[in-house]
Amino acid sequence: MVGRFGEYGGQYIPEILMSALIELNVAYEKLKNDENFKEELANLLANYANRPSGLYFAQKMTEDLGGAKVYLKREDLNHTGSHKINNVLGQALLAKKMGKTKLIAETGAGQHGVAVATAAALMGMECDIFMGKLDTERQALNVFKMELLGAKVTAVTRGTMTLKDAVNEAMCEWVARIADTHYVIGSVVGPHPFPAMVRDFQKIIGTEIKQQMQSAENRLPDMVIACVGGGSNAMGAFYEFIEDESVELIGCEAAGLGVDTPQNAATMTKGSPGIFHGMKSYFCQDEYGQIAEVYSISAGLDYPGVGPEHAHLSDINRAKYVAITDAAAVNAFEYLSRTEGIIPAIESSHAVAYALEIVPTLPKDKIVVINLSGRGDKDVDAIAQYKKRG
Amino acid sequence: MNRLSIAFTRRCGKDHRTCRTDCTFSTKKALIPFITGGYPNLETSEQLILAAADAGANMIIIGVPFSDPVAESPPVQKAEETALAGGCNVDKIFEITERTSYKVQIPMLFNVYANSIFVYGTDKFLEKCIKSSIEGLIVPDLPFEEKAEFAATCKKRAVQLISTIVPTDETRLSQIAENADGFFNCTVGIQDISSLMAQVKQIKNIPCAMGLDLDLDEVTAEQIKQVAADGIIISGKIVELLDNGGVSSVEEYLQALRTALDSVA
Repeated sequence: MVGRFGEYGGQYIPEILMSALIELNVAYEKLKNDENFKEELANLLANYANRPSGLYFAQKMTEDLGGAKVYLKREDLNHTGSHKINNVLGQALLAKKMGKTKLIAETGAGQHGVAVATAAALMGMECDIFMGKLDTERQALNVFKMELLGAKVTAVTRGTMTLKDAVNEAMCEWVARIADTHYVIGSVVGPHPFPAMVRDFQKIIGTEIKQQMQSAENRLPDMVIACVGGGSNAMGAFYEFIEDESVELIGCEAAGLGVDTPQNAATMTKGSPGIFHGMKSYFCQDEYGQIAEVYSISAGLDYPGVGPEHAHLSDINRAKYVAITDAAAVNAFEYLSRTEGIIPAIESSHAVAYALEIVPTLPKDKIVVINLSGRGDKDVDAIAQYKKRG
Repeated sequence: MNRLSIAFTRRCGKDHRTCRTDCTFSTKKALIPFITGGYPNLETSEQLILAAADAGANMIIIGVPFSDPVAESPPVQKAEETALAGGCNVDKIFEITERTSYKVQIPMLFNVYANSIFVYGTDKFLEKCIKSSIEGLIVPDLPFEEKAEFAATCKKRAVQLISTIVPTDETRLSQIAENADGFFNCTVGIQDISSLMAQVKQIKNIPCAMGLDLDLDEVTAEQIKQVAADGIIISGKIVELLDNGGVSSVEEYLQALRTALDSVA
């Protein structure tokens, strides 16, 4: 079947959106192997987004944990401060080639929204960003950044007023504006071709890790750890290693206040297969398939679903998914700041937290790579408040 | 022609299952109320189904509330949210439809999102549909490409999986139309309905219904006549009427619309 990862994926969306998806798929299939497109994108990634991002040997962390060697893939050093720019430049360039003049997008933490607003400014396109009202309050700085970049930010007041509702609103908006507008989905979610296309634009992370690890250690890593909301940075980091079975792939989802409480966003740990947002995948939902309100300290992981390719990798036991609590993530946020002088995004801190747990148990000749998907400047205020609450 | 296609023709007082030939060639427009299950509560929905049938509806679509009903209009979205907050779920809707199925002669359909069927268990869901005389499913997030998700089970239970069409290229329209059953659910503006109908009916001659929340104070008989669709689905208007005047005002509206539709036929 088209656009499937095992049984997951598909195109479960209203008929009214199908023409746009078909148009997008045709354009993408044509352009993804087009030398000019590839060259233009490579040029933007290198000279505008600052790729390749470094693979940094975290010596102090390694010594402190006393187990495997730890490397950090520095996606936090990309322009706009996270891995999101990789996908956004790809999609914006694609949209431009398709003759679209406007970009719309949803955003949770605001990282994706900022990246889309940036690409729109760069390419001279109009930009509308949909963001849950709660998230606009949690991430006021990013709202200001998007507006500074010339985007219009719409606070979504329906439903749970978070990422899920921002996606709903952006989809509805797309229906009304299909002719001149491209919807830049920010993760490996949604209907085909988005999960595969976004993964293709993000797989540069893993490709670089492999080359950089070859130069540094002349071998493959033993483990790659990444946080998973929708799962784009994880899919980007994992994809190159799927065939290398010696490399353990670990996705860290948000356990919020704990997987035994209702306040979590641990889709793989607590969810079940379902159909939502255009895809068959795992979702946090009730016995009747009503999509659950999810919670995480991280607005970027606060999503009730996960990309269909992750669902498949989990089912076939190629990747393992673990749930990390708010408390463990905040601890990791502070740990990395103090130990390495790097303030990680609260999303990425979930991956760091799992490393803090697992690295001391591994022998010294093992190598672990943490995908540091974003920087934490945006989270400093929220963490300070979290600490104050105790 | 099957039961759903036939239902587009006006009831003639007789049980429509026994008067197919009389009705089949009728040219009148079908009246299809969309009732959000559990809004504002389950009791009201049950009363409303009976009232709508009495008011001359040709068939009734029951909206099964979903947490994220992206394809519905804002009033219906709000109604579904309220219904869920009030504790409505699929099982409770099946309880209503099972009871009303003994009293209502016209076909009942569900407007139901894919996840509600999938998570309930497709087999079990369709089995329950049969028990409560649900004869068709409109699944708003199931385009032609994914029909296989439910098509075989629907076929086994003889429940029609209704195809939605929108103006698109000829190849796609043909594909969808050839595989359509019952009627076409047209998501289209009023100015585009005639050309869309002309296109699809060449491929399969089954009725076309479209959503149209007619405001009877503003609409003339002449305007209704110009609506080419074979059937009109009223949804958001019903929510509005329920909010302002309860079941009786919906019933009055449907009766008036029935009269208006018949007068232009």
